Amino acid sequence: MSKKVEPAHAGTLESSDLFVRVVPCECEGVEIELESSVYEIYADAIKATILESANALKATGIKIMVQDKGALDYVIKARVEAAILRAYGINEPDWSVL
Amino acid sequence: MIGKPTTLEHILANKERRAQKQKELLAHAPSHFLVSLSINTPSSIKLSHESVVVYEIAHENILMLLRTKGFTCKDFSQHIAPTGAETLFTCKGDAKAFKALTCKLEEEHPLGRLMDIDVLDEMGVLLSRSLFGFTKRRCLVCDEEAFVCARAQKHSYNELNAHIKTLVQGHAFSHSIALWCERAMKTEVELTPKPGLVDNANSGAHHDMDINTFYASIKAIKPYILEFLEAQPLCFDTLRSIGVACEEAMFEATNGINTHKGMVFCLALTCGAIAKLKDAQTIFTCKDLQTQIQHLCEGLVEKDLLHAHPQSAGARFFYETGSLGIRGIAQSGFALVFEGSLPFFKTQKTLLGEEKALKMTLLWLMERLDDSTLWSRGGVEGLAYVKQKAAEIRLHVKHSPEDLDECLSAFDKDLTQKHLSPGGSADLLALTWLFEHITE
Repeated sequence: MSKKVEPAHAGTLESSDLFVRVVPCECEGVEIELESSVYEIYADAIKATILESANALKATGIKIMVQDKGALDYVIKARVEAAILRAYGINEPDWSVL
Repeated sequence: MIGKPTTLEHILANKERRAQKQKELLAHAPSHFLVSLSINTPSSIKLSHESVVVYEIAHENILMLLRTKGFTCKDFSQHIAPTGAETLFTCKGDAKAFKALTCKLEEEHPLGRLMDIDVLDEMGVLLSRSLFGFTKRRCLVCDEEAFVCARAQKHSYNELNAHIKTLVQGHAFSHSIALWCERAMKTEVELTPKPGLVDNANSGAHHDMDINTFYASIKAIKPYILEFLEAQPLCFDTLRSIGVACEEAMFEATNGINTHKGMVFCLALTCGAIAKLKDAQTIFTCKDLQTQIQHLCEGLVEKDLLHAHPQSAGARFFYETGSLGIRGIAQSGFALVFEGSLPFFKTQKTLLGEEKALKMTLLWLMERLDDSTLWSRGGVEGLAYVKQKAAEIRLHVKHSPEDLDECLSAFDKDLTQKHLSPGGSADLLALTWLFEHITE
């Protein structure tokens, strides 16, 4: 996606949820910053899920900052997608890639 | 609404709505802190019967803590939806001190593990349990940290919900029964259309009440359910005196209108029977309940009716119709329900689903019941007319089920015009629904 990116967020800091912030950055591709209450066990898995969700939307030049409170994969996917789509200002996503 | 499943989309949207609402409340009330109550319910049915029981207890406990420990509760807003029951309290005082109190509640109350009480300070910062030396919350079922089990989905939803049911049965049995009674009365009044009765669409043959009068009445009656269940000594006379107080509260809430007098009588006896059983068992059969109600009502007809003033309503009803009325039904241990409307309702429910089954059961009851509410307004002729008409409609609908609502609406217009209301059948319908849910 080549549209202009505005800072956006999705989710909450409640248990079993996560708070995702997306900001534009100078980087190539996607940069991920992760804090998690289950970091020791699941950090790699969570990062992979975040990256997969971002790639499906062809997002580049963004930084994704995640504070995870033990959310399940499908919640992570939903929140990351919502934050990226909000950052791009898209109301109706292309469901076929999600 | 209770028992209706929700979706991931709604759950996630609701969490964001709640976070937004928290921000707004804090912005509008500077130097206040927030208490956010929700219930841990690992299921797609977030508004389960059990979660509502725990919610009501947690809500009361938080209000009590605020009141007794020197905090000021400026306001609270409740949000009851398929995504769960929640309250946001806007409070004044030391947020950290209050968080310590809610941690204690979560740790020490037997149902505390199911309560999720967040405290956000004046700046909107979520206070953590670890600030007060509390460890991370443990799993509902095992000794592992909750985060670990939840993320790994270590326990099945069936296992988790069976555990929650056992906790609620063991530690909030009376509250659970009170909620069943409330739900039974709400289910009855919300069923639409109903002939001559108050429902969601109209007030039927009643010009002095509407569905909100019923909601007010149900709210007033609910606390007395707990009193019926605790009646001492447990006998008919004690139940009757609590029932009189309950009726007074009902009349107070409805400005003197009789919405549930007959229902209160039925609930008093049902709860009395449950109270007899509950120390030995928390699950009972229809036979158990019926037998206990018969015991409680022994000699009731003779005592009340045969010695009553010949001009009293009950006595005149008896002489004109030959029916012993609600007292006779009670003394039989609600045989008309246990041996009639309940088995009928169960069969209809498997065929038609709950809502249609309730409508068919209402007609079934109207065909059979010597309803003193009908008699007092329409005499023996009015009563006979309603019985016959209900039978005709039920027979017609049996063959043409798609006509059910249309027939009921026409019957509603008819009875409204004739100023006839089958209030007694409505009470027994609520009782049928209640028995279906509280017996095994």
